[in-house]
Amino acid sequence: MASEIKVTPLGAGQDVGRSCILLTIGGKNIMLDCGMHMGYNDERRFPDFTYITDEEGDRLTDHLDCVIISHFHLDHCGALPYMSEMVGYDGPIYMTHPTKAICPILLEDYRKITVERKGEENFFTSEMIKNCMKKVVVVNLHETKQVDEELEIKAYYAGHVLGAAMFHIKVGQQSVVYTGDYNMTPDRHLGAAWIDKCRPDLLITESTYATTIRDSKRCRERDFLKKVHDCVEKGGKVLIPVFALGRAQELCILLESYWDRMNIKVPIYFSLGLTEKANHYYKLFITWTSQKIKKTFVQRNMFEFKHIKPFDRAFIDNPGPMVVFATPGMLHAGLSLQIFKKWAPNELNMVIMPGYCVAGTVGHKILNGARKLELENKQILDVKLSVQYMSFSAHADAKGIMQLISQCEPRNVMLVHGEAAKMDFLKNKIQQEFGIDCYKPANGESVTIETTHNIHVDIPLSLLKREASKTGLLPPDAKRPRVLHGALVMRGNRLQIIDPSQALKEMGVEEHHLRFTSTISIEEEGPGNKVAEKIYQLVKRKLKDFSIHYSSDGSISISDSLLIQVSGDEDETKSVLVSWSHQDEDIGSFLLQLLREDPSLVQAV
Amino acid sequence: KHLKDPDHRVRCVCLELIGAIGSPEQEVVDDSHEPFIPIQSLLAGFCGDQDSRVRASSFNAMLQFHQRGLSLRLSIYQQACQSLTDDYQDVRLSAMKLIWVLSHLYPDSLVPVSDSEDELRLVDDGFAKICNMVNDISVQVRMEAAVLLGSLHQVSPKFLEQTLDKKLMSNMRRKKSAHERAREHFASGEWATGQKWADDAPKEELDPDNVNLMNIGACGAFVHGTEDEFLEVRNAALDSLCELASQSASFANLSQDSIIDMFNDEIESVRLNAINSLRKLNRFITLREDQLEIILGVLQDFSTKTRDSLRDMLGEMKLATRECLSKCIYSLLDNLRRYPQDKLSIWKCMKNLGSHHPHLALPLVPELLCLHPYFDTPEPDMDDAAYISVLMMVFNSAVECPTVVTMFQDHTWRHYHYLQDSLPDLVPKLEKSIRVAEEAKPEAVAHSDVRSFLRNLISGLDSLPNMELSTAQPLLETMVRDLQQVTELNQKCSPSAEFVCVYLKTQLLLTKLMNQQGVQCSSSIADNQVLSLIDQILGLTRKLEHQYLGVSSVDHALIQQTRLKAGTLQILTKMKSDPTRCSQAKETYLQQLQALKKYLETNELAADPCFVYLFSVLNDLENGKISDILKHLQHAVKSIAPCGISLQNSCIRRVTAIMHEPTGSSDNPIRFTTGLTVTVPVHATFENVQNVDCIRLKVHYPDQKSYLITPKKCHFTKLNPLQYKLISEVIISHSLWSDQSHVEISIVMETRDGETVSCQELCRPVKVPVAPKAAKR
Repeated sequence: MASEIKVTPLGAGQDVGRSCILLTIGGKNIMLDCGMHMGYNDERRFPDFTYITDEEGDRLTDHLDCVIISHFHLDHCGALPYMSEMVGYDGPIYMTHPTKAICPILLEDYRKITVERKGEENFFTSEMIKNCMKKVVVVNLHETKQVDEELEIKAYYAGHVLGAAMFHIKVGQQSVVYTGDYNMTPDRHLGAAWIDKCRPDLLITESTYATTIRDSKRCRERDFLKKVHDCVEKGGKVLIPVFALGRAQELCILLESYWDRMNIKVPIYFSLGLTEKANHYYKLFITWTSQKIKKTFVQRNMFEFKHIKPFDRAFIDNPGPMVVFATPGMLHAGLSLQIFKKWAPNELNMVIMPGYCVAGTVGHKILNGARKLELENKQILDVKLSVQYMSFSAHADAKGIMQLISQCEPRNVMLVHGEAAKMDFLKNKIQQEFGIDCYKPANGESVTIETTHNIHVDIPLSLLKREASKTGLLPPDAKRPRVLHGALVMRGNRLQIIDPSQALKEMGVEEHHLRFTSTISIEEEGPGNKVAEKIYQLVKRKLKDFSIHYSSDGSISISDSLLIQVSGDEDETKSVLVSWSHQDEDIGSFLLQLLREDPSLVQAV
Repeated sequence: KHLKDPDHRVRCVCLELIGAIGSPEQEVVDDSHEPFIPIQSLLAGFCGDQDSRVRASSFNAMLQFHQRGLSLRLSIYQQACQSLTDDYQDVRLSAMKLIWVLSHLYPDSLVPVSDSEDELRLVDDGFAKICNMVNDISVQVRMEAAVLLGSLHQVSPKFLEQTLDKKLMSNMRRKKSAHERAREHFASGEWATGQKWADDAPKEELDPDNVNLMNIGACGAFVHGTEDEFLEVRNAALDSLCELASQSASFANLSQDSIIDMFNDEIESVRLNAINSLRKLNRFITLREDQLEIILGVLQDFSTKTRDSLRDMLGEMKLATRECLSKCIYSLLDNLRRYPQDKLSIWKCMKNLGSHHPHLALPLVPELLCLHPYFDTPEPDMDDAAYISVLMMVFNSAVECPTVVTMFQDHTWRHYHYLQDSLPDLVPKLEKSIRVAEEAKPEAVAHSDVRSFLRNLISGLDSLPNMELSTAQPLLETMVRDLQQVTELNQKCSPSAEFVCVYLKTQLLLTKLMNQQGVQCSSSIADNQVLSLIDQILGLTRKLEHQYLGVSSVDHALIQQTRLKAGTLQILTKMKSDPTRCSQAKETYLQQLQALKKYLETNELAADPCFVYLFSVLNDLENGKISDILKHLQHAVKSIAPCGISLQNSCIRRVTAIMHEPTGSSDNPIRFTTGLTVTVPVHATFENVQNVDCIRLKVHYPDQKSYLITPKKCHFTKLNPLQYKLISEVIISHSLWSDQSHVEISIVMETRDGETVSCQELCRPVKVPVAPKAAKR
């Protein structure tokens, strides 16, 4: 019997961004993530939900059983209010506690930028975000949540960002693991992703770094700290443009503990607003962080920074060294750009770019070595401060992906959230190393995976134990198949194996025994019991595993149900009666064969 | 043994029992199978049991065989290897241990490699298998794997080197790791000029077929282990890395980068471990400049312990270039500026640096001593700790490299002599100085002189018991005076001389007492005088008993007897003046008497005539009337006489404490609000202390109240078996004073004889000026 799992990526198929994957498993439809695409500003930024709905005005609720959000990054949850409120979905949305807490902040921020800055209309409103969040059901780590009678989901820790989770989705026998984004190497504030050997039929994994193997994190951290330290030691100011969530917190922890360790008194500032709220949630969800932070929590909460204070615009012109984290991360607008303009002309100062910068931003220009920048009002800005680049990215690299695959031992792998060319390499590798199928569907392309389906049969414990005790006397041997006597009964749509006698009773059928009896004549002299003795010896030699009993009246009984009887007096021929019941057909016929084939063998004894 | 119960618990316990009492070659009768099978095969059968706990305990039973010294057969190896992929961590854990045991038992037997016809040594194969387990899901398994790796010394270097190997790539291009880049920089002799943008740009294109993504074999085991999320695993990996590196020089060289990386771990214990690991490898490795930069960064660490161990390590390292040494020196000086309390440890580190790298130091000397080819430079300040640190380095390098000596200026020589006197263990003897200070040289002679003087003196004491009291007294007086001078003269013998001196003092006092006793005047004033003398004797004997180590039992008995003699006199005087109120004192006295008797008997020593008599009438003393007791005591007292000391052990050591902080030189009073507390940091070192539990900090306030503070056990660090360092603090508080005043802080040792608890000062009290302020309303 075979059944199938169908997967269709609406986004993130051979692409990064707009993660949205449709999964059909055991007749259930599930949407994994519901993200937006950073690269587009038209309708392409959201997944094409019309793929699901058949006609205009149709609601998604009828087509989806549940939605699962892996973490709070916008490319994984950005389209959520659009989907639930504007397209229409009233079913449950599953996410972890931290995701639920932080997600609305980011959505609200995203909405503000799109609507208020860019002046777009027909976008979702704050009210919609609120309504959408009301549909959320929270999942704890390792908690099995029953969506309905057949569908259950379970979350595993994924690292990446606070609250990121991998989901194990199971319907009956079939199961799928969706990783979301994950990180196999621990960092300063989050642990490594972890999953148990759940052997799913399909693993859907991200593959951002499919062709990269990264150097140890420690070198990068050390470089970063050393640069910052050297700069403030000389009296310079350090600007670190960050996005509010995720990396910013890691860098804060990093600097904070270093400041503690080195006993440095230089102030560190963190720009107000979004980040403050976010830090608050980081404080709350301390259980989601790494070992070090959890341990320190006994004394104090690591996110209650001792050295890091909120920033005020008035501090920009303060004399003396300082370190400032400011948003946004690419120096394209806002506070970070403002500070940058002030500090750029001094060569003592430094700016550290902790992440990727989109072409066209100030960040991108200075990273590429521009020493003179033209500002909006035709002013020329001399960039004298030193510019550093540090990559702190929290995706699993190729090795990490392979490690996860070997940890959970799936039967099939599907790559999403990565570039097509890079996926090819990883796909080949997975097929080589593990010998399992690997898929990389593009957006809108469906993949169907056949799964073998085991038949589920109930068996009462008493029967199992009784049968096990019969064979359990022997040393265990995994290779030897065991025979179990029972009756297969179909009740409703459930299969059961029960004790035969009970089955008969239930059916109201009387039990019949089927016995085979055969008589062989052997030409043999001597008294009957002597011949019986000889047969006994032979049988004993041939059948070692059975209990053989020789009774005084010349009959041999083998495991209680087989009977060999020798009759006839002192004459030449003896008739040997072999009788066995239906269950022992195997041995019975073997014995008969033995006796019939070679009567001389008996003589030889 | 036939309990093959369906219940897993029964089976587990059975297997444990087999492990505890059976042996692998022993054969067992089995009713259904062929009659005899060796137990090991039986156990092997249970490795395939359906219950994970039974599987684990069958492996454990085999491990137990090994622990009991029974040999295991190789046949189990394949099965153990299969069990490494078991679903349950207990099974994986014990299977891994079994592989480890087998790799130790049969390192050189060959095992076939799957998918090819090659054969591998078992130890290599086992090593690779355990390496793989460093990537396990379970923390315990990872940790155990990391631990086990360390003890497989016989593994071949090829496999060992793989453990640190991790190929990097970025978008299918080969990339060099930071370590490799640093190593190349060093090799090419070009110095890093700061981070360049995209200096780690990927180089050549990689062939997709050659990239190995899975960790096959030993690849990268330690790279992963040291990057693990959990500090237990990281620590274990570090230990193993160090262990393996100490077996092979080439591996040590490879691993130093990884170890140095750990210097920046987020957990302090891991950092410390890394420092100590590197220190253990000092035989093999030479530090490069870029590595040193990382190491020296740790000198700014806030934790004293980390800094201390780092300096210890630096002192033992080989440095590659002159720049390294100068960098080292400057960061140590910077360290001194940041944390002045590290002075001593920095000097020691400087000393080691100097004596290990004389030739690297040579070109640095002019710069360090501020020499100028034409001009005389001003004489540096002798109190400057930084200048002293530099001198430490220079002097110690001068031992090996005489050229350095020629660069010394006059004031340098002056400082040298001064330092050699004040810090003899840090400043070596230089050739020239010996010539200059020829006359001061015969120190060794003086040393033996003192010793023979002591001997003569002690032999002179032999006749002491027989002497008239009146003649004994002046003799003892002169001896005590002589000894006091000797104590000041020579350092090495001083504890012995001091010991004898103190002892003789007690004898002197005793003689004085006996003289008075002879006069037989029993006014209450005289009684008080006697009692105060007795108290003195008791104090001194207590000091003798507790502050000196290495006192022979004979001498010890003498001290005890002296004390009891004083005790006898004490009780006698008391009883005479007020015979009714002495029952308590009598009890304790009798107990002491019995204790002494027991001590003398167990050590087979002869008692003083006075005690010979007292022991003989012990029963009377216990039960007799007061008048009888008085009579006995008086009789005994008559035979009290001073006696000499044998001093069998000539190197007696004294318990001492040196307080480094507070220094007492500060004029600025510590101000605090009345009624609130203020902490005073205390740094001290102890020598010859057997048990730090009895060390107390004593705070003496101007109102004559004193308090004892027990420092926390964790504030002590053991330096040597009898040496300790204490970094603690004293909390003081007081009500308002009209003016500032001194609080005396001292270190005392609490001693206990019987019920009485007494304290003995180990160092001079340090005066700390304190000024409580009135609380502001």
